[in-house]
Amino acid sequence: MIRTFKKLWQPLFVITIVFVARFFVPISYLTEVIIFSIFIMSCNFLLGYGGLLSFGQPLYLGVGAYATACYLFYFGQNPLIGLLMGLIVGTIFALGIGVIIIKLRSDYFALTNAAMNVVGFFLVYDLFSNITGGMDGIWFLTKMNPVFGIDFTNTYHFFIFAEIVLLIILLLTQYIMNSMFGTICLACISNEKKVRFLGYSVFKTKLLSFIFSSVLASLAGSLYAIYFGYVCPSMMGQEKAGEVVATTILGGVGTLFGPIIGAAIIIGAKDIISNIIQNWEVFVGALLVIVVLKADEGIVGLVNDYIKKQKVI
Amino acid sequence: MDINLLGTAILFGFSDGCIFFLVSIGLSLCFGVMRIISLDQCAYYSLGAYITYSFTLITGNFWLSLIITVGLIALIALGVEKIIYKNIYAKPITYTMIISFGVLLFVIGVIKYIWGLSPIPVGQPVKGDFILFGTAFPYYRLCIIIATFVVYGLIYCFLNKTIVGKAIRASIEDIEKVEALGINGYKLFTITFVIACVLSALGGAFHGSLIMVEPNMGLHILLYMFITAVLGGLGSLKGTMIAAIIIGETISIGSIVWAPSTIIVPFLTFIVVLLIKPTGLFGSKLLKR
Repeated sequence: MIRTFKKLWQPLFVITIVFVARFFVPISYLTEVIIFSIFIMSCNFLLGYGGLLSFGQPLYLGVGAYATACYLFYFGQNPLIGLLMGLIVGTIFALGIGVIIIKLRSDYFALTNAAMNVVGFFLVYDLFSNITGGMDGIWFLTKMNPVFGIDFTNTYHFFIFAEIVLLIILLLTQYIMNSMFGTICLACISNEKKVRFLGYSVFKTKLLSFIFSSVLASLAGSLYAIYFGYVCPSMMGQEKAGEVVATTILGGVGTLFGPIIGAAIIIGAKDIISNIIQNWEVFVGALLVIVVLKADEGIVGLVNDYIKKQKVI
Repeated sequence: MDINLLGTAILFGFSDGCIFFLVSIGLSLCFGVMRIISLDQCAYYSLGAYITYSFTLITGNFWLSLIITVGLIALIALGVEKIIYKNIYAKPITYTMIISFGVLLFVIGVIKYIWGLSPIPVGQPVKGDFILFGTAFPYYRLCIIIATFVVYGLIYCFLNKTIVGKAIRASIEDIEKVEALGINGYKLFTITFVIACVLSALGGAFHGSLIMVEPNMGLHILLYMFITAVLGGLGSLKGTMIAAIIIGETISIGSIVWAPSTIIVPFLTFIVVLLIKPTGLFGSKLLKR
């Protein structure tokens, strides 16, 4: 019992903090932090365990969001099936794209993703606008049925649902990070040739990391779609990619706590700073530069360094 | 398809390609010499456009404000290089990309603060057009093409005839042996970075009169700049010129054939080139890590 608790303390700690914070901060802020942190976890896993930087993560968010939205608008009314559709479409899309672009060098990979993001935005906004509603998007808030007593349009019910999803994702991510697969991922980042000599396929490892991270991003997209009841092309705009990378690095690459801390800070700062100055990019840009120059590992890294210093003393 | 329209498209594509060349050669040189991906060339491109616009309003002379812009951008580039880039030459390439993207976002924010959010139309300094192959071709675009070829000639002479230029070409291949000859590698990096930023600013200043200047123009040109640099081969002068002309013509001709092809065709070219020949058309094999 104690061993299980020791293994699972990190996800349970996060869930408890989020649940308790409900009494202090607005629920809408917490829900948005939860969904955004799932999105950041995708970039975090890709950068920390896949070793690949991507400036086009909003593309996978949009894929999940639009898959869920199209299903709920055209076909059925069950939001959980919509979520599942988002996941399935996200997986197939990531598999198709990943097989082609995983082999590219790291900088080409990042900008290819950015280019695909622009192309995807254009497809949704212009070419397929008769299906996806063009710039106006799709509105389906009234079309979602309550499932198992959870009414997805109710803020409080959705908050509990999002928390349960967050708990599942945290447990899953922690399991993957501590498994053999996670160790091989970290080994691939250090030295690919040695991993090949050990008999593991670097291509398959990177492909699996890429698919997992894209599925996480699609899940976040589906959650956004169900939460707002509305999707529009600006969700997957290319300007959001900078925020994602900044939050990932701020929180701490490759850690479990990093995405949540980063998401909480960034969404909080966005609300506070947007009232003072109009251009949000100054803050994100300066944050990126300062964090990469000074605190390579992000906030979690700073905390870890502090704890190590205390232990030595 | 009207043959006159095709003629216009080809000529306009040529001048657009020249702008792409001016912006991409900075990225190409930076990667070749310093092995960093300097995404903030787009920031100096937008700054060049905006500063030229402001000084043209103040002084009334486009060419004078161009010289002032070049001086200012050189100072800013010197500052950025000394403060930020000096510390990250040793880090992996993803961190240089992230930092330069951060600088780009910061500069976009500063532009929004100083000049506002709405697009500003900029007047052309050289007015009038002449008839070529049955279409009206503005004198200004001819100016751009001539200026680009002059710049190409100057860079070619610099890289091939001066000692500093030859040292830069050598450091594209192997920086350690250049340092073994007693040449200060960091000074070469600074010189290369300043030249790259000045060229991007020139591209921005010329492009500002063709399109409306707006805060996000750096992000719009980011992908085209990268595609041109990669297609031509990172570190190669001739390759970037040819690739820029190709991309400019493709976008221009594609826009009269089928409108969405302006985005899709360069991107497809990019993917195909990366999968078949990752070093680009004229890049050297030594640049493939």
